[in-house]
Amino acid sequence: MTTYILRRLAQAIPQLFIISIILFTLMQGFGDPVATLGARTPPKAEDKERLRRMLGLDQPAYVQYLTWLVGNDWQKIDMDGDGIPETNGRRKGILRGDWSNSLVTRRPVLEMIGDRLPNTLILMGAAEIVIIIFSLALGLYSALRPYSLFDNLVTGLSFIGYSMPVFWLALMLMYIFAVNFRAWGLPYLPTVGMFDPEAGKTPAELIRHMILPVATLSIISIAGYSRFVRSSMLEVLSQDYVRTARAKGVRTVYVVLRHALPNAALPFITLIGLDIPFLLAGAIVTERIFAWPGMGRLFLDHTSRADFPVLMGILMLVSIAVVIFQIITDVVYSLVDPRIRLE
Amino acid sequence: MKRNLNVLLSLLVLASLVLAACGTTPAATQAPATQAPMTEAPATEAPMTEAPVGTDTSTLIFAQAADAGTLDPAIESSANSLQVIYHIYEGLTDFEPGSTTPIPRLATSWEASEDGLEWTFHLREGVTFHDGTPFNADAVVFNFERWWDTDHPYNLGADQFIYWDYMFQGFKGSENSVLAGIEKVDDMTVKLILSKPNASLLNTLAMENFRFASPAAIEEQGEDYATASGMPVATGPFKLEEWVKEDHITLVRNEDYWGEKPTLERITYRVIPDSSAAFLALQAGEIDMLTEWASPGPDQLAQAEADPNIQVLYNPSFNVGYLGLNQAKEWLQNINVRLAIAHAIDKEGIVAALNPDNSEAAKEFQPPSLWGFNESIEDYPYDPTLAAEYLQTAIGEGVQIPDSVIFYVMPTPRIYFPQPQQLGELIQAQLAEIGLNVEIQSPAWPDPYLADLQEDGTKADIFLLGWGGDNGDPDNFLCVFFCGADTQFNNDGAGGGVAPDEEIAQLLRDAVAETDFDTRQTMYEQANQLLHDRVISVPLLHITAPTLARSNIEGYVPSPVREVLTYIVKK
Repeated sequence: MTTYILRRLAQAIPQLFIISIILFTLMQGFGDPVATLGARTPPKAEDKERLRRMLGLDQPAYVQYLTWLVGNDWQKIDMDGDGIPETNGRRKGILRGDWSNSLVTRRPVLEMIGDRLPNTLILMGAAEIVIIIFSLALGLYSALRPYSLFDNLVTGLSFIGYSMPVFWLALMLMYIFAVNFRAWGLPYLPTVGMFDPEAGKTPAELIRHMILPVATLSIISIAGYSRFVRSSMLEVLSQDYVRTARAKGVRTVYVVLRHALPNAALPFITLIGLDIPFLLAGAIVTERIFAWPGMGRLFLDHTSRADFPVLMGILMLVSIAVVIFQIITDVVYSLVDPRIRLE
Repeated sequence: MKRNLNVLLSLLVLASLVLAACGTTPAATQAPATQAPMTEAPATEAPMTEAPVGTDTSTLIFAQAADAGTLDPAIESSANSLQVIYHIYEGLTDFEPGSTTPIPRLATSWEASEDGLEWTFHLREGVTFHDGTPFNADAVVFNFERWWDTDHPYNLGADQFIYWDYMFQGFKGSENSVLAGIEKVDDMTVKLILSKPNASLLNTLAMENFRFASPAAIEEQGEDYATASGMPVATGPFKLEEWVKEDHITLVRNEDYWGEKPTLERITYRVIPDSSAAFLALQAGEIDMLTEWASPGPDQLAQAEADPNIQVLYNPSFNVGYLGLNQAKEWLQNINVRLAIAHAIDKEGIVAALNPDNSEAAKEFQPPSLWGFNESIEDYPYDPTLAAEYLQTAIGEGVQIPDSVIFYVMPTPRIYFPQPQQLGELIQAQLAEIGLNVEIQSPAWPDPYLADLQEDGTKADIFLLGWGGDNGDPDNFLCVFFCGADTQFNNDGAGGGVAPDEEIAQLLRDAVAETDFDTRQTMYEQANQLLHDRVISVPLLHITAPTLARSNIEGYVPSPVREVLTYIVKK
């Protein structure tokens, strides 16, 4: 098992290199970062040239990539933009833990991500837990009573939930539970933000503010995932070994939880395993509407400015997480499915 | 395995909870609120209140679409940052609330030399920065040298101090630099020496970018000055209390303020990027005001007008959206062609169709609220028959009308054009009526759209663009376009700007050098007349940007340049 994990990790290194090269190549078509820096009128041509030199954007793409990867602190670069390299480079490169600086804010990318990541994790983590619990519960219950009134109701609601656009759902929830409930004198929820600035960042405030965005994020996923759990559960319940267990008089709860669920849950684990890395990326639409200062908003704000160090940072973080969680998913698979052995 | 995943997730959530909870650190400790009795009547038209000014405990919650970048006025150019900076910092002059007239702020009076090159400012006595540093000539000189001299230890470089470069046309040592020197005359007097007369100086000095920071604070904080990890220190009626990046900025009343203290105890700026969500937050009463920069579209405006809990406050228009005519193109050099286009456009129809509540047809390149506006100009009447006749005359004169007229229409809304695509299609249809075949092109905003128009000049025949004023001086509305600074109206074909009409350009250059106000005003009125007569371009709209507020907000003075919150009273 240890050998397996080590081998997978070794394979991940060239994988990440290739991903980073592809991402960096795609970034080249993102637009000109210098065009959006400046005041009312676009910067003058000579200022643009100087800025490009100062930010190293005048270099060919492969040099920029190498600087991003391994740094430039052994060579002289042109910091004042006069065309003559005279200052020592300050970049260390991502391989030495320097994720570069934002072109827009000039702050270290890692620091900017560090500001946002906890906010995103708390929101997305909570949503994922809600998704897992409700998908399993609804899926299981529907599978045990297929084509019952409850099952049909859940199926119908799932189709509605699945076809709702996120932004519409978010605004409707806000309109009903924050605006109208308040107007009607009912207990209401806040509209936007992580907490009320006057009340401060207390856990109670955080939970109150999380309810609507978590509901937005989970309703659509639950609608899809619960169908998924239902069908794989139905399939397993019709297997011979389940019938055998029932015939032996094993209690239904035991049959379902001990015999059927572990097998039915296998595809679900894959699904969740693929989901988790993307929790880091945040939710662009939901975070924007609920003014949640997370990773999705960071990504959106800096995409419009072609701020490639920040975009590369976020995308690489997600890529690393994808690679790691794939390994974890495979390991978990071998633990729950005796037919799979990791060599 | 489900349990394993759950444990992992719970750990993640727990860790982020702890991290998130640690994330809030107050940017400053709150000063104890002292009872400050009102000493003088409010200078502005803010309504008198029964509660003594300076003792109220109300907080105004003001929503903006984005967080401030830093709170260092020398760096910032976005409205979201400048809005906060306005309430913390003060400069030599300020804009009178409700207009663009410069009034004394930290300077009590000033005089200019005969030739307009030397300006002496007498500073206000008894003013201290929030950190206790006295405000005096040394502080003023320190700030000017920091902005102007790229070798100053706290100058962050030309690429950061963009507004200084823009308004003063260069740094120390550059031949274009408007500033030639700054001198301390005595402790409470400074003298600015200019390289060329600049009559808009008093307006420029009222801009947020040229407001003073405490020299001690800048020396202490270095590059962190007024960033989220630093602290802005100035002399204004409010000071920073707390800044949670990307969430909110809280300002608290400066109890030691030299002037009339605000009634509000705090202003909280909340970041709400989505305008629909911001509007719902206003309806719910979670925010008190919604800035014009995040203002909702026409549907929501109608909804706001209908809501008894919300008032719509229209700020005097301070922008112009126009149809640009590229006179580097040969066919547009003929005045009959330009007259044909001017008469073919139904501005009133456009206003009625697109923004009936908050726009008016523009006849000049500057808003009517700004001096220099020429009342006597009659706009080109909408008359397709007349327009077609002008076009025929031009064709008779040998003008080659292109088979396809390239029309640049921006893909994203701007404050001066909330619905550019619909506007473009209306103009396309109106020009088709007189026989012009117009092809709309919408390259990405801002790049390459602006670069194509302002630095290249060969791509578009006609285009949509607009402008919002910086310093409340007509020079900033007229010379910006018509002195040949960029390529949009005319160019040399190699990326260099050329004035579309040299006589008008010279008049505008003379006007900014003229120190007598009445003469200047006449010169701008004359320039506006010439621009109209020679159809250098077609002004289309002035948009009146609405600020939305809850109905319990009083004392807001709608202003053209900045939303002034200082005198607000929350009932």
